[in-house]
Amino acid sequence: MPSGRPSLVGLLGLFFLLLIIVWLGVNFVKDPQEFINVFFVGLTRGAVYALIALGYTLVYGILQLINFAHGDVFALSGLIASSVLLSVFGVTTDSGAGLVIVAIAVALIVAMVLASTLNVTIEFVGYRRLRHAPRLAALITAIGMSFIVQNIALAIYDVDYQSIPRLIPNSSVLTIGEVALQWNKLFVLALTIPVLLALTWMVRETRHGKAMRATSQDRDASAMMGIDVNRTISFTFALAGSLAGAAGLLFLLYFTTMRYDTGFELGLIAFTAAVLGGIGNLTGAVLGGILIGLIQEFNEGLAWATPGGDWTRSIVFGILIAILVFRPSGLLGEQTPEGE
Amino acid sequence: MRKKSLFLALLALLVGALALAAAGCGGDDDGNGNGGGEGDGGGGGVTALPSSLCSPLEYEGEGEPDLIIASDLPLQGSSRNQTIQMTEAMRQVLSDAGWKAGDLNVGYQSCDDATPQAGKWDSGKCSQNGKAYASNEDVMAVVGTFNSGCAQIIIPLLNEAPGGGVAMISPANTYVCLTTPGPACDETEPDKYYPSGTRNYIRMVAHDGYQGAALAQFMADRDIQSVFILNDKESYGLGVAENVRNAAESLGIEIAGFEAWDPKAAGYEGLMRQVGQSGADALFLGGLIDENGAQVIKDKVAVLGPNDGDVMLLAPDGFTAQATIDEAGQENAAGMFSSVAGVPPEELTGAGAEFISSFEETLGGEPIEPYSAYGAQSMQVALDAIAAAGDKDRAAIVEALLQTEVTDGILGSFGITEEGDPTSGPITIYVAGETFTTEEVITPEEDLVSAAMGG
Repeated sequence: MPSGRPSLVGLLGLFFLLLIIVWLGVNFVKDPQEFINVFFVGLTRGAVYALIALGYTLVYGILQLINFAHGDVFALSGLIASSVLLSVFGVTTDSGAGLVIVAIAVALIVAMVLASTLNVTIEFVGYRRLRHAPRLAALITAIGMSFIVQNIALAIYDVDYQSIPRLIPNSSVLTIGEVALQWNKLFVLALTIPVLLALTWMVRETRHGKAMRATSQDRDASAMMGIDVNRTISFTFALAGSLAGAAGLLFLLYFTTMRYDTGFELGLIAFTAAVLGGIGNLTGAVLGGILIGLIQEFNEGLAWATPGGDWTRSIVFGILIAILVFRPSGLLGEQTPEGE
Repeated sequence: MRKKSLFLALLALLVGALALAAAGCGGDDDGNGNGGGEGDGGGGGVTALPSSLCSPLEYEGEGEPDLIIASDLPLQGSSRNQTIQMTEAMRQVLSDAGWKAGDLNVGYQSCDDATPQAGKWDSGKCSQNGKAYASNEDVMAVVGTFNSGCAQIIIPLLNEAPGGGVAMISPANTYVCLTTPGPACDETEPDKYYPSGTRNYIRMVAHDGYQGAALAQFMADRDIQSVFILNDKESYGLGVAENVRNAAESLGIEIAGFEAWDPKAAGYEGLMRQVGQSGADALFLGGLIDENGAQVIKDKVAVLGPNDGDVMLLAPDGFTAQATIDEAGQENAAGMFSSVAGVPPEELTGAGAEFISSFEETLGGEPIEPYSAYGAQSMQVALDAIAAAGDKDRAAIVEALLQTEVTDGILGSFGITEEGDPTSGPITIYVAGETFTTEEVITPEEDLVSAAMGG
């Protein structure tokens, strides 16, 4: 029975939250313009995380499976996009805008189609037959799939970083005082927001979306009501794959460097973002991604009393643990049968 | 239904086989078709090192080899061009010597301490290699390692090897505490690397005390007032970053910040904004290009501007390779300064100039990487030590190695201190453009070197 008094752990949590607010406040007061600049950097990085996190959350929502291969599908599709840009179109920093736009559009289509196909294949080969197996079997298969996709990327692209020229300029599009928003950041944000809106609309309003929600709540009942469960799950994997493909290209265009194992660490962060926001919750995945991006950049970019890069991972995962302790369903709550 | 199951099983098998093949073949090529080859026992009079670790035994002299010299370098990842050139340089020395050391026929194996997954030296692989050298009684000398972190693992294994230890000559290790105690070293260093109580390791390059001093001197000469120092958290990167910090402080340069970059991070824009806010007019990157260094350089230029602008960019020898320019892009690397212990290839004279001239022909126009001559000199020192010992006797070879005195060698004339360091310490500062070209050669004052080491 609740005592009505706050626990020691709760008080500690409030104390740390207060500390963070004070720290952010002091940094803002000391240099508000730089604070906003760092905020934009974090927001952009967070948007990239969010796009990857959406794929995790979609699959978890329907299968309650953490598809560890998702991060690696993201990396492989980014590498494939680099081949399209460099080997097929031969784009350079001197290429005309027309060629760059066509090359990016083709790379986007190729990356999304290939990533979708790969994701659907992974589900068909690896996960479908384990749907009624213990959770652990599916989890281990997901980890195995992650290594397989990673090694395929390694075999094709070798261990070297694949670099592309900066095709989206980092010159300022908007400047107020010393606060500047660059074209490449605007590009990332302008792509993430419509993707989230379109995805939310699709899940809520369309036939496929309704089928996904129904399958996520009760697979057997959905099948009895005439929903093709296998097709719906494949569709979800295809959707998650196409998000990974888009995120791969976006990452490549923004950071301009990628390697076969880029998806491992990023996948973990994106998965963390999905859990932070409330896994299975689309808006939660975006919120989680953006929060982690901001935490990372504030920790590395602010000047006053900043723990610095040595502590970034500890802080990100420490906050995750705190959220799970105080709010196990994530910030916005799960939207899965388990979360209800 | 059974057909479908069979199909699925076959498909799964195919995917698994593809992955296994992928794991095995990623970048495992040292440019000579090595990596496979004959089995573990091949090689005539000697037992070759396992083909899973090293290239097949090479020997082009008469008869059969009497002993093996192995090189231990990371042959995969960003260092690959550099290290493959080093193995080519060693082969050239062996060929010039007729594959002989005194009366003994010398076989050669090129061993890789990198993994395709890491794309750089790997502690597990270093340990595996070190144990293989120690336990193979035909291995009389090891030329390597390239990375100090790997040397920290291999030196003690070779030091305790049967027969009095295996002689080890590094062409590129610069971490101070491998040979020399100092305030910045752990109190167990360097003794913990030599558990037998006798040294078996020397190096051809001056340690990072010299590099740190030279880089600080270079900054002071260019009127740098404040430097922000980053490191990649590896022992080499952190070590050289501390050496630069100590030397810079002793020259009155303010340290605007001392932080690490996370090699696994996607980008470093926030970190670079912090550098910008600190007011530093120089940024030093202590670490390796393999540790996502190209992204650090790109973000430096994106946030702080070009390297010949407001914030100068400097790095140690971990960045002085063509891979830095190729991976970061010439537009980002241009104007970056980086150092290498020793003199540049074009300033070598006598035997060094002759070597460079003939090596240029071997390479067919490819730019010579700074450490190639050091690889060649290391192999020559190994051959000389074996010749001086006159027998296939590990202890005698180690003893001869510690007496090394190079006269008119590829790197000129120099001796080796009791600790195993070369007696001369010039440092070359390169500037990046299309390739790295020599900017200046600095021989730092001993006082500054001592300050760099924390003294």
